[in-house]
Amino acid sequence: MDQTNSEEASKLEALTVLKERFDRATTTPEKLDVAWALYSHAPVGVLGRDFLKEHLGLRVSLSEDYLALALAGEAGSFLAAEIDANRITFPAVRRLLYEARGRKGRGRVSTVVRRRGEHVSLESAKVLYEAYLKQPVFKTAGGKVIRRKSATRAFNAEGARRPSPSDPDQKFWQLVREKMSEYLRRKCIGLDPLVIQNLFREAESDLKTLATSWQTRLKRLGMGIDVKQVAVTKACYQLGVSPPSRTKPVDLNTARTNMRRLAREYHPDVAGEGMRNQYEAVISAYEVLTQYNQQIGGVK
Amino acid sequence: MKKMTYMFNPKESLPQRAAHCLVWFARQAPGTFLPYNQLTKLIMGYSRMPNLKSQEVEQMRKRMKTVRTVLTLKYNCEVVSMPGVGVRATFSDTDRYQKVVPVKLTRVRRATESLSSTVLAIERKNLPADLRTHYDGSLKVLVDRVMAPGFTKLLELPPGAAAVTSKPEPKEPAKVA
Repeated sequence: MDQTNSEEASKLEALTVLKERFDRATTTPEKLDVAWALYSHAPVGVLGRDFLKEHLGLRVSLSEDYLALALAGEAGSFLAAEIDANRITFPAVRRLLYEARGRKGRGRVSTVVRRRGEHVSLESAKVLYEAYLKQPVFKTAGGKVIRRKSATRAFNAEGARRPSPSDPDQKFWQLVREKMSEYLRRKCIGLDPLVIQNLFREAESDLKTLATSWQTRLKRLGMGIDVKQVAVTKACYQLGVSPPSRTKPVDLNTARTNMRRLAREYHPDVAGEGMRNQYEAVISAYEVLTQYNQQIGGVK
Repeated sequence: MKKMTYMFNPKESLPQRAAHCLVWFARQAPGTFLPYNQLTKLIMGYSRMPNLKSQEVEQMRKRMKTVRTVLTLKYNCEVVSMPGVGVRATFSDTDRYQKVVPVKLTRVRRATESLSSTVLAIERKNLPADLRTHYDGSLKVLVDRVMAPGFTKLLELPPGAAAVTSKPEPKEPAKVA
């Protein structure tokens, strides 16, 4: 029992010393050494990221960054020096290391840290780092300068160009997409490609909504429907039936029942001359719906 | 339909708002039914009309019992509802007499008919002594009075009132092509 307590106490002491060393360290490589030493104390079953966060008082993302660098060995030390020289950022390093390990994506260390000794060779890290330095520089919305590949649909018009489709609708959309992409490339020089891509997607979605409504109108005109959707909706509400989705028929049975009920209620012989307008409105609403259904059904 | 310029009081509860809205609408367009979705739109302050089958419209429909109470206690008027179409508040005593009274009179008439048929189907001799006393003393007397021609005449609908029917209208036969 006493032995266990003394082991605990010595471990705590060691952790405190490491924390002090970490606070005193000024460069990233020094901090990395401390983080690695601390990580060796992490018990099995506890996430290294959380262990570092708890004992060093860091943010989760920063703990992950330190861990990713510490696990990378020599390559990690090399990249840490580059971070100090302000040539690369922590998130970029993490992405780079993830890529060096042959994985794709943003590089979540929480899955990597489980495998100790997953070192990255210095050569491969250097190759990737050089490739990183060749990437174009962009400004984020917050004014921060970052490097990022320009392989986005919005930015890279060549990427958006596909083999010419045979469907005229698809052809039209391809043309619109290319024009939009070209316009954005001209207007948003130096902006973060992710921001451009989001802008592109928003514009594309808005355009598609507009085009769908436009196409529906065209279709309705082609079918010879001249009753306006607004009039149909109004008539539906007047007769207590749900308005139909576009080019679908109205539930005329319910409309008829409600029309008869309302007509009995509003009939001038029953309710007086004051309700004549209401009576006529109900009758004409039913006529609108009948006409609409005839037009829909007449084409079928 | 008139353009709605109704302003609800956000401090009031939904049934209170609905009652106030119905009274307002009855003043704007007396005798016109307000669809439930339009009522919901007005008292919620929506910019678009909610669907008739939407949850909030269904909730509004279910809350009409409370709205009836508020209307009676606060505004001294009642609700006239038309299934499938909507609701409205009564706008005058004549309207109340012609639209609400017939409904309640019909209920009384149907209740008396139902009671009479039940009581007449009971064989007096099969009853135990205590129930037989009750039968002779009150139930038989009540049924006799209720079935008397004078009483039945009292339950006649007022002039100008449409007959109240709960039966659904017969559907037209489907056309065979």
